[in-house]
Amino acid sequence: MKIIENALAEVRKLLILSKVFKSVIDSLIVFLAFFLLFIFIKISWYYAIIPFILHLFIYGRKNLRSIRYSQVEKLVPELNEKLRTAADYVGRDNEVVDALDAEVLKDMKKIRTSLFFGSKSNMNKIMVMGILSFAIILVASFNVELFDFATIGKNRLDDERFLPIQKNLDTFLKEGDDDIYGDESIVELGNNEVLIGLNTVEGNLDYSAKKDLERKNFASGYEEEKEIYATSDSSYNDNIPKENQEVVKKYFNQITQAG
Amino acid sequence: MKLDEVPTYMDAVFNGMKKVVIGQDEVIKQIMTAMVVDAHALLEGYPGLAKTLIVKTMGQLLDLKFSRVQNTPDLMPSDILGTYLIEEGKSGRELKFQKGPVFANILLADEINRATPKTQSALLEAMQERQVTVGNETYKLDRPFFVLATMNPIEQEGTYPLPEAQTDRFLLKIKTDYPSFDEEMAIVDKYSEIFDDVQLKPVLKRNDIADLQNLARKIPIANDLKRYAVDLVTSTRKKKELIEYGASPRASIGLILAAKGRALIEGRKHVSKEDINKMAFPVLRHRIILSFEAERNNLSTDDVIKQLIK
Repeated sequence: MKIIENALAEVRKLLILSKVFKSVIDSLIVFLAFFLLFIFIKISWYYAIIPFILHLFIYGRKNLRSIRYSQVEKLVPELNEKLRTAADYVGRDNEVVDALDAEVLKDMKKIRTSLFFGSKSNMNKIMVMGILSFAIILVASFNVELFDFATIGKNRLDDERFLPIQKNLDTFLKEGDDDIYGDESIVELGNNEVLIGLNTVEGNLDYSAKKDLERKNFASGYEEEKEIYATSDSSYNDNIPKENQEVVKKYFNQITQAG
Repeated sequence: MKLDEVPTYMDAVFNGMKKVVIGQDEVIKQIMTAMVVDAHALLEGYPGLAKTLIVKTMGQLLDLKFSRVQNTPDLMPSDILGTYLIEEGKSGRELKFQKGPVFANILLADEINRATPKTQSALLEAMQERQVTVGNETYKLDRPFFVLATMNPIEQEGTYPLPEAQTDRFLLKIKTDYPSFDEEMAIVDKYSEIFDDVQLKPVLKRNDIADLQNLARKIPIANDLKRYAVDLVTSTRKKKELIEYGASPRASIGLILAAKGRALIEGRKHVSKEDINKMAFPVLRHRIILSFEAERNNLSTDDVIKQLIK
């Protein structure tokens, strides 16, 4: 890459940085202005981020698209019309273009960063930011408000003229809906004894078969065992070695004795 | 010639011109502009404004062969291009081509609007083709070759005005104006007293002029200035209330070339907006035809061009 191309790239980078700086400063001023406004009307300051982001995006994009070498030429008059000509002829070689490039490189030494960032307009903007910040601190500390937007808004919501839906909602909540809660008479039952009557005609039970309890003797083929014991299948037996069985037995005896 | 030497040589040319011609600095600059871009120019002005003197002096300073043609209604094409003459040679009589005044480096065609259209066409063809065809023979014209044609704006009787299609071949239409009072006093002092024939030494050679022409084409122009120049020319086609017929794309090429030439003469390595604005007048004034509305309001072509320039 030729020296002039590198130099032009550096200048372009500087231009981009200055535009980004300008966009951020402008957006911060918008943010602080909205912040102050929202303090006055008692709206949460978080909402001030929305205009900040919108402004940064819209104007930041616009500023970046408007980058031209002529903006540098305005700051450094010696480069007037030369810088953009050199930029347009990058890659083209002839003795006149080479001589122009040499002249431009010589004059580019007069470009200083302070020309882009230390301009009067930037200084004024930073001062405005300072004033707004100070105003915010004052207003917040003295709790100054012009009108309570939140309360006015709430009152508007309570006003039947403005929100008939709100009224309907309240009525609905108070009066209830039979469909949801069912029959009120059932709710009143509470702990009362309920006498339930069965409709024998319509039921499925056969009540004609109802009779008293009969005593039954279970004597046939049954011999009473003197001792009843249960056994388990061998598959349930533990395959524990005999010496270990002794250890377990002793262990449980000791626990029992200790207990 | 190197690029750095151009300002020195240009200063030498202008200083040499000042020894003979008093005033008319802008005219001299515009003629030089036409020369460095290898183009022809139309000089319009009242008689006695040093048009012939400027061109003759320039021929001396640039070491160029100068010839002059006084156009009259009876002038024939052969009077300009040349003709075959019978000459007695060693082997008997033979036809020999006698070159006309067009075979010069600088041709001053005085009062071109007095020549017949046929003669005008012969000259214009030579200007365009840089060669002359007589019979079956074609003769190339010497390089560099400039035609500076003059027109008298006051005598319209017995004239054959150049049609716009023909005037378009001239890059510039240079207007010569009356000198200022002080300049006229200096002219009177110089030319009414003892005649001092100034001998001028050539400052530039033919090779130098070829180098200048080469350098002029290499002068860079920024894209936005190029767009401005083309926009200026195209605006002549849009301003219908003042301009009946606007300039052609040839004018766009001419304007950019003329701006480059001017930049070179002024020692700059790039074209500036001022070059385009300054050269817009000589480039466009013979390429646009004013509407009746403009003429009714007594507007000149220069007034209209001034309105177009931003």
